[in-house]
Amino acid sequence: MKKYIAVLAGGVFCLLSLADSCPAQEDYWSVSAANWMQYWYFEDSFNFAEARRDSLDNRFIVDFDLGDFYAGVWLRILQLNRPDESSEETTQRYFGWRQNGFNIHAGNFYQVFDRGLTLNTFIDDNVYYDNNLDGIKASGLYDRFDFDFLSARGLESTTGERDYIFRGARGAVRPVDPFKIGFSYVRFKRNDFMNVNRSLNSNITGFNSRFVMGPIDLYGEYAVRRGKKPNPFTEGNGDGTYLSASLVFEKISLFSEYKNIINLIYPNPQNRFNAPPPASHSGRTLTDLAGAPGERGYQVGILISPTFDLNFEFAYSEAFSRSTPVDYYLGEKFAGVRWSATSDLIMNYSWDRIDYAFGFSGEDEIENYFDAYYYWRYNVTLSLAAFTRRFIPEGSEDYHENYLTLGFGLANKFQLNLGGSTSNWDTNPEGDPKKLAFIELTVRFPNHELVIFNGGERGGLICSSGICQSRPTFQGTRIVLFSRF
Amino acid sequence: MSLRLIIIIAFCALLLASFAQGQTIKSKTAPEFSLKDINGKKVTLKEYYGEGPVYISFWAIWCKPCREELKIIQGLYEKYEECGFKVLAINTDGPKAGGKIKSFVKSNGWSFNILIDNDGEVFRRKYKGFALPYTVMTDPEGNIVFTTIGFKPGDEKHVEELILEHIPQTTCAIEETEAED
Repeated sequence: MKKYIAVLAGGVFCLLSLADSCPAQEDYWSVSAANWMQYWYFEDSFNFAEARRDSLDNRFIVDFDLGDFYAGVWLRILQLNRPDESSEETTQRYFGWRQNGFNIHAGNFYQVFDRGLTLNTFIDDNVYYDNNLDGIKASGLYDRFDFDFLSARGLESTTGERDYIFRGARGAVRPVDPFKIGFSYVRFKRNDFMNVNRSLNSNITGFNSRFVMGPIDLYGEYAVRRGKKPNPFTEGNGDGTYLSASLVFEKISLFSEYKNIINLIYPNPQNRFNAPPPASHSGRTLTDLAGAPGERGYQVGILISPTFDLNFEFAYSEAFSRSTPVDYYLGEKFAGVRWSATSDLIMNYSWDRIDYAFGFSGEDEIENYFDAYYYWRYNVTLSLAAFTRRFIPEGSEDYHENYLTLGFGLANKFQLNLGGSTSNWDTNPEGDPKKLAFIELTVRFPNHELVIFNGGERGGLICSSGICQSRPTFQGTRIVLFSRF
Repeated sequence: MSLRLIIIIAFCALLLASFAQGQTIKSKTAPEFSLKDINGKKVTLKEYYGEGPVYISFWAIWCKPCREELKIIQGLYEKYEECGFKVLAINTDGPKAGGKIKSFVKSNGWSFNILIDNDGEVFRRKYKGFALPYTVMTDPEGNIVFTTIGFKPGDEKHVEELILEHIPQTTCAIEETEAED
């Protein structure tokens, strides 16, 4: 692998070096690449005998285009500060052909069918989630209709093998302008390693419709899952409904969402290949937070804009679990305002309250956030971001965290941030310090961004794309370099 | 240790190659794509070429700097729209933003075209995006003249300089007065 990477890097270097002197490149073929490197140096190391104090994550992408044909490869080198957790691998490789809206693609890809009730694969670095497929797909995108067909394999997270088999199709037509109707179908299969005679098969079929006219936008989707029960802990049959409606006027906009799912997510909530939109402002769901097999919930919101420089947003959401031994509840209230008071000053404020109840336990979380940008000179800005989080656990003392960041930026050249955080959580199981401070410098070159961070960054629950992960506190130095060639 | 050495050598080689090309990537054309807009209509990038520079911004509803960027770029869009300046804001939220996006766009007063990259194939694969907001700007012929990650108020000064640099001389009277300033 090391030899392969060296040869590949050398080849790319030669191609890029020749690129400017080759007149054919612009017209017919081209090579492009990007590299994203993160390096961490930990001030406190893990308690492993062979633990390192530093980690490296390097991702290199290179693409080659030749007329309507294309090919690419993603390489990743991961060297963590824990023994036996390093890897160097080709994470994705692909090639394809596209012309006039039609695309045939072979190799790794992501695919979402409509609002995700039947298939939803994506990558989200915020929560280190990547459920890409490996196979072949054909897609068409035209004015009045579009379609996708695929045959692929998905990664089984516990074995690390592509044990999941997918066959799928979707299509949508817009027969007359306000209406659009569509369908989707996915056949999912996995041979059950516990019993060779049975398999974790599921057929998921969905129908959707959309109506767009003037200020009105209505969408509805229903999906049904039918499958086998390979063991007593897995339910094979289920269904799901997702509805959304928005009403948009000049100064006021309204939106609403409703979801109701039961045993729809396959193969399981932790390693899933479909999910409806979370229908909450923070993107949290009971399916993810508590592993509930089903939930019913809604979100309503209103956005008010008296002027271009003054925006208000209010949102309210609730979700209730289905088929759980005890009732789970997730509620959220959000209020925010953005105000550009003068041409030199921009301010944002928001208040967000999230209430959990998991049977007899629960926790409420309240966030107050404020930031401001001030144009000090023609291209020099000063910034301030301050927020506080208050946690109110059921049956124990509440605690809070406070954050402050001050920034100095020179337009598109560099940004310097100084900040810190405090916490009064006396019983923090991780033993995180109560006070943390950091300095962060971002330097921008025409095709490169360099970020150097030193100090402490408080951990906590990170939620994105309906997935939540607990991230540990980081203390040390981090260097990020993103380059495009 | 040798692995790290390989990474460093490969990266330095690419870095040198990049700088040796003159600090810009003008020789690269923006990858072509077709996406649906928020009303479900198909939009192709090449339809936007010819009249002026094209500002392609990848954004998400949860991304606070993205909102600041697009609010500020709206001002530049209104100022230079008649001169051929185009903006394509590509949402990368995926299906979770589907119920809210039109309200969010209208509330913020964005009048440029909003496209939906539902599965991230354009952002992640074609444009090699890793973080938001991610911006790619092209000249009227589709050659990339500027890319950047992250946005802070004040960065638009550099964007405006690039707009003025790439607006065709014949299409806009503003250019001359701004250039004199």
